[in-house]
Amino acid sequence: MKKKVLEVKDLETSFFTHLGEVQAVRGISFDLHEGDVLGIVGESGSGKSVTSLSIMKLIEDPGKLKNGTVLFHEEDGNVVDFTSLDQREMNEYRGNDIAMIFQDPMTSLNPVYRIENQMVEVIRKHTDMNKEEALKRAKHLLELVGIPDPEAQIHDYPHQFSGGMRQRAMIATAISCNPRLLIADEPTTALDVTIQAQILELLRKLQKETKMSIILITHDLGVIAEVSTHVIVMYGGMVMEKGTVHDIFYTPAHPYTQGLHESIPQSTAKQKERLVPIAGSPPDLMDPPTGCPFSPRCPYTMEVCLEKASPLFAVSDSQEASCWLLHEDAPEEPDYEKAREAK
Amino acid sequence: MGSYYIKRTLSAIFTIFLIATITFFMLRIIPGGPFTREKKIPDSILESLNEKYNLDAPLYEQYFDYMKGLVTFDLGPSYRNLGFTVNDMILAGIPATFKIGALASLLIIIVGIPVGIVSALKSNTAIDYFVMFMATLGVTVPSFVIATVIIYLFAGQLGWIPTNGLNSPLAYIGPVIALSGYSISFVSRLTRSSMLEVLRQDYVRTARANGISEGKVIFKHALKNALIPVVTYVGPMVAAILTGSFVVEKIFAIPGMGGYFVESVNNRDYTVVMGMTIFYAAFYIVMVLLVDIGYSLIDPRIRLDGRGSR
Repeated sequence: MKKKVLEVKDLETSFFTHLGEVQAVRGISFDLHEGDVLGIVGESGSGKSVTSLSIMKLIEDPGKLKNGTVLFHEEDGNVVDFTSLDQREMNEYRGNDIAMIFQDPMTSLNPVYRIENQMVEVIRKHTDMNKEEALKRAKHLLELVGIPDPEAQIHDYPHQFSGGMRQRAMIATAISCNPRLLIADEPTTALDVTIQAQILELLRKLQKETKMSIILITHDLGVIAEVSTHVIVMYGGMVMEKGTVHDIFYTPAHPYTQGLHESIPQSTAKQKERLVPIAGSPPDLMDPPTGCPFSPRCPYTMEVCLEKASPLFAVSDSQEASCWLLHEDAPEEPDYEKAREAK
Repeated sequence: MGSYYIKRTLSAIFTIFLIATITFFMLRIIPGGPFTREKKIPDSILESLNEKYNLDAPLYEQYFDYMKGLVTFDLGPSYRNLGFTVNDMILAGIPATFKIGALASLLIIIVGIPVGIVSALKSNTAIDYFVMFMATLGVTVPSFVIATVIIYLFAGQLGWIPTNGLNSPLAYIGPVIALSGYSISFVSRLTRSSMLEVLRQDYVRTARANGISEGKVIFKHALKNALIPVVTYVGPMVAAILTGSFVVEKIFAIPGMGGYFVESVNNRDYTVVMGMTIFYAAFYIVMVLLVDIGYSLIDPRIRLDGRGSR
């Protein structure tokens, strides 16, 4: 049995704007084990980024962590609840045991400080190293992430780096204190396709070498398929389905997951075959639907779906989905294609 | 880099030449002259005066004469303060003006910037609203009103500070506050909005995600970026303040350059107006150059030689 790294329970985060409460995350629970690469996938506004920022306690005003616990299991088995820590205490974990990289490497590094300065600062914050030792470590890390001439380039400013190099520098900083968990929030979205593949390859390689766990947030199922071991599908601030990457790609149980697969272009598709979009638009999180958030767009909506959100039903040992169709009293699952055409 | 400074110096000289030329001819277009009085001066005296100062020569000749003097930093004699050259007058005005100007500039920087930072960090709280109210007041109330209130209240009613002159350390309080009021308010507003903008940037979030302490996030990662627009404003502002304010110098009876400048315009004292204008222009150009150098020190993306970067 692999050791647990992170337990998230009933996490709820809202943004209290002057127009009203935006319920970005509405009760999310999941476990993450050592060495797992958990992909969180969902469309814009599904709450995946807010989930990761909530774990890090980086939610800023007017956002608020309303409910839930984030239990972090340290190397020695000690368990801390991040939600009970203040910012000063969190700073001991952030960048140290749990690190994060962001979507846009162009703006995520401070433009007025050298790469060297920014890396050494983080290393020295979390270790007892002196300046020379930290600099040596920083150079070693840059080499590890594939910066061609770290000896010279560590003295560069971020604007002298290309997008891919900046993301590499971000990754180097993030792994500088050997984190147990790395959260990567859309790490490849702002990069072009060849660089994307390189960065994913790098993350995969680092994960294998260091045994750290990764939470990979993306809206790209292709990215998930490439690096994840486990997947959570989010929609409207809730978990729709979770399972191993095999479960999600070969036996998707939730109509939303199925819909996502339908809308991906296939290289084996016949010419002129049209993609199938999911009809409708994502829910308004200021006033989310009472029942299942996907019910307004779901081809199989039943009465119960509109009244109450479904709990997570086990599909197999490794897979769960929150859909009333999986309830024992539910009618036999109709064929997705047929239902869509009928609609 | 060297070639950059050569280029900047050449363009500065050209700018000053243009300003001198335009000012010279504009002054001559304005009706009246240095010897125009309410009571008419007899023609014979006027003629001999004009002859003494070579004002009867053709305009182009006067212009070339003046330019020749300018090249050797000789700004000519004053037509109204007999026996004084313009150089003398500027040198006489500099100490008083620079002293209150430097103090005011210092006050603006050490009060304006911290107040702006506090206001940004406490944005939308009572502290922020109070500071911004005061800042709005400071920007809208003109310096002569501030000066008058200070004199009435602190010099007149309370008798804490002298009403005029610069003869005791306390005497500096009034003019320095009156001189800096507007800019303190402006700088604190500018710092606040710039700081709020920077605190929303991704790199600030990155610093927090790396466990950097809040103090370092604000004073290291955010502040340096937030100061870029402030530096833009402070450079020319210092130039303006150091060259004197007519109003404040007049109200507090301080013998500085600001007073001379306005007086000389009223008197059509051609050489003094020219000299003051050129002095101000040169000073301004130097301050703008310092701002540009300051930029390149703060923001590595700005390169002075204009070659840009990758």
